[in-house]
Amino acid sequence: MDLSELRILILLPELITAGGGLLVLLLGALGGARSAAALRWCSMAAVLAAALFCVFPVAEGTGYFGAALADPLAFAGRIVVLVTLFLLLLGGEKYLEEREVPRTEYHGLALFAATGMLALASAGDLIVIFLAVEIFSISLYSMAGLLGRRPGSREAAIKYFITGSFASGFLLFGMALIFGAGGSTNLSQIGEVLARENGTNWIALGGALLMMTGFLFKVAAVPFHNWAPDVYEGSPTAVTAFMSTAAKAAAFAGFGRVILPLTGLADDWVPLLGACAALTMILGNLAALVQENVKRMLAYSSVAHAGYLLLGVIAAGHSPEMLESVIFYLLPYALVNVAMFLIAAVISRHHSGKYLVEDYKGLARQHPFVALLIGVFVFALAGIPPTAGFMGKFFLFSAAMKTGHVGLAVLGVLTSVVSVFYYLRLVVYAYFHEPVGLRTSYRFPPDLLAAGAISTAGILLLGVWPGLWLQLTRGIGL
Amino acid sequence: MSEYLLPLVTFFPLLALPALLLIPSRATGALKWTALFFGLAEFLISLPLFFRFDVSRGGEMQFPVSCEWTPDLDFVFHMGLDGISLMLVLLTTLLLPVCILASWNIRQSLKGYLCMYFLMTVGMVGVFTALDMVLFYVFWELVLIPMYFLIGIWGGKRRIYAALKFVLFTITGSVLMLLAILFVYWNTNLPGGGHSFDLLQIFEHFRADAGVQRWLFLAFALAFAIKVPMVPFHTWLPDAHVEAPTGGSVILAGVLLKMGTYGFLRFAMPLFPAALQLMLPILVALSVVGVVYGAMVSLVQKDVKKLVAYSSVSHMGFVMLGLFALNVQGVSGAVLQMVNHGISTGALFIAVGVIYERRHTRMIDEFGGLASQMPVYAFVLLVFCLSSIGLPGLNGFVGEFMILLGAFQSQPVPTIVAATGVILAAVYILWMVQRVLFGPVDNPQNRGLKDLDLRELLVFAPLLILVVWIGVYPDTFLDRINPAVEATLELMRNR
Repeated sequence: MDLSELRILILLPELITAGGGLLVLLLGALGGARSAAALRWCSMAAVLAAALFCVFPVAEGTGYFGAALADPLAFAGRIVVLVTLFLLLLGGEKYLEEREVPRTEYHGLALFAATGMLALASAGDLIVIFLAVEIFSISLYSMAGLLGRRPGSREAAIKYFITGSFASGFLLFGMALIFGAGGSTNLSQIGEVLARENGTNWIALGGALLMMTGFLFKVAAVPFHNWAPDVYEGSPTAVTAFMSTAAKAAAFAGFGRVILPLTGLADDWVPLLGACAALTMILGNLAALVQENVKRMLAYSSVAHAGYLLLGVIAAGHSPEMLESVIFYLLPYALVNVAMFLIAAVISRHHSGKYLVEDYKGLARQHPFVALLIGVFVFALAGIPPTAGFMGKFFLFSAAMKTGHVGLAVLGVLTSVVSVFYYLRLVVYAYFHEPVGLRTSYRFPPDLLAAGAISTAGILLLGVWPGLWLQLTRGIGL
Repeated sequence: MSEYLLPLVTFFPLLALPALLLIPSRATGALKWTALFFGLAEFLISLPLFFRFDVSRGGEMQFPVSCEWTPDLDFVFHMGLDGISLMLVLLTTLLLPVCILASWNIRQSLKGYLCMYFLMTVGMVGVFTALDMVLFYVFWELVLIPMYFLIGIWGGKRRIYAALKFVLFTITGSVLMLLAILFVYWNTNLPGGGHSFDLLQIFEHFRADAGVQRWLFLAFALAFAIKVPMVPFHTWLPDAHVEAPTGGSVILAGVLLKMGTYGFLRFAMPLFPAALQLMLPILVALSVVGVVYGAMVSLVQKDVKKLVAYSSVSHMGFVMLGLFALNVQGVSGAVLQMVNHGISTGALFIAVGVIYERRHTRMIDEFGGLASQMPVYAFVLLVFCLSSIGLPGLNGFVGEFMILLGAFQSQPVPTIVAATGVILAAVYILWMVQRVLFGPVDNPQNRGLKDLDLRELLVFAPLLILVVWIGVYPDTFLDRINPAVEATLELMRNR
């Protein structure tokens, strides 16, 4: 064993976020409540440094004997997670302050979760995948319960923990079967072994399905989505923003990782995954249609988006390079949702306090800029040009059309039309209704507005020049 | 120079946005004049398209622009203009300042209101000039959002319902078209390998058998038929038209509906000629039903604006019938009629707006004898009504006559049925004119109504000139339309 082959610096971004997390814990222990600002700056610095070393990597190729990879998927997955976390740290500070979220724990756990997410995106080995999933999941379980005084937060944490543990169980069992069939935990070696098989290897297929089940749990796809609305609603909103975006992005990156060696079995698992995608798109959108609570609506919308993203995963089963459509969409999806949840928290706090859709009535009168942001977000979620949301869906449906899944694509666009209805409700309330009653005027924290502006700019920029991001994700799956 | 002209005309309206946004909301006068300045500038910038258009090469795409749009993708920023696009682009840029001038009395959030027109103009000009399918689709959808806000914020009582209905109808149609575009893309195999969204490449290299074509044609046709609108997809139109503010109705009737007919002519028909032949009987039947149904519903309307809205259904049925004649006369007539309808119906909506501003009602019963109180207005309204009916010497006659002539050659029986629509049009329009303009002034509120002022005259003037010009000397326009139509028909035959 040659230790120079280790190339530990491939994991530099992960090391930075993990180190940042430890530093935050130390700072918090030393400084107590007074160090709130320091905690935030420390976290942001760690995220920026990690992102810097993603863009300018100090090591290339594979590290840890194939367990850690520095390929386009790793790059893109890490960037989505880090950008999302950065916006969250930028825009969520006021929320943490007002709701008295324990700051040390929040920042520390967020960085640890990010470590797991980054590792998942760059994993080349089943063991690393499992470890990464567990690192970010356990951090998120705890983060969901950070507002332990509120019963909703406690319920969310327990629910998330129990269902998440189930998912981990499925994942681990699937990995065991794959290990049995492929004779290795290394993904590329598994791929080579399975590619040599003639006919269906039932053990591998069983393992594949179980692993996929685990990931379907994590991305909240039907029929494993039931935890999402309750957990999203009950968790502190800043945490919801994190788990609905970065966690989903990381889970899809991991999903992509594990299906690539399994493309030989695609004919067997694609129909099942296709059924899941179809149900996810239908159920997610129909359920979102009747929600009066913005957080629940966004939760079901994120279920629906998991369905669209599954189209890309399915396409990747036939032609792996189509995975780029999934990774492309994760960025605008994450940009929109992280800002939507944070803005929703402010609006809710100054109105009903219950995240009602009606709270948005007359928003355009009082806060034209925020209403504009919400307008762009909503059109992006609905997939209307010139937003990146459109381009993302365009690539996903294009991938589905290329691989012959016309039925799923048709279902996808028709359910998108359904989604237009519930997304536009926010615009209708914000723009077409007068403000109700006399409200005390309130202001949005400037750093939240900055985060919203950044994500809006990104969404519009990628909507007009999608190639900027797509060319960075090229080569995924190859 | 000429290669920059089309992008300039398309994106120039965007320059108006920062200018408008910088002006404080209270300075309504400054806002209006700035908007009018940019609107007129846009029209003036688009005029070189007309003067520098090479009539002898009318069937080719002129002022072509083709460059990489976004790295690493098969999207091309490809624009071009033939005689058909030329007419519609000029109609769009003309209606922009007209609409701004017609909206002078808007009070509510004027700044946003004006911005919507400029945003929409980008989309509309883009739709008529884009030669790349993705570019086209982006522009197509771009029109949707400003119109949604225009109806939703500045509309009438049922504006929210109307706005949502408009968006849902339009999107339902266009998303399936998106899938069809993707299918065409993946099945356009370039000789050098790879695929293409470029329309001209697709014309050359895309082949599909009639069975596949039928599905693709259906997806495209649904998007366009909803926009036109063809019966039975027309139900969004009366709501949207009636609830929209005057300027919105003008753009909606003047330009947005033409996006549908243009789509048929530019995309659906030449791309899938075999499917077109299969579907032709149904399409012709729907067009004729539209003509007669629209006319009959107009007949019983009590609201002038609704009457004009339903008359659009009837007129657009005529345009569709002309397109499906599949000969030069019919199709050229249809293209000319698109312009005519944009001018006349646009003017009628403005005319309705004029009396609505004075009386805050649009009910026919409420009026009567306006001719004695507002003689200039009466004259203007009458001219546009006669143009809409198709009085010889005015623009409507030329278009309708060409359509009937062309359609009769290929579809005699449906054309005869559709011709009754012309008679019905005369009935409902003249009856409305009689009840609104003539007779005694029996409602005291109508006494002493202010006649058109200078601003309103200036709104109508360019439209009046065009009504007469096209009616008397349509060759200015047909010389440019005909070669493009011939080229399109040739393309259909050869594919």
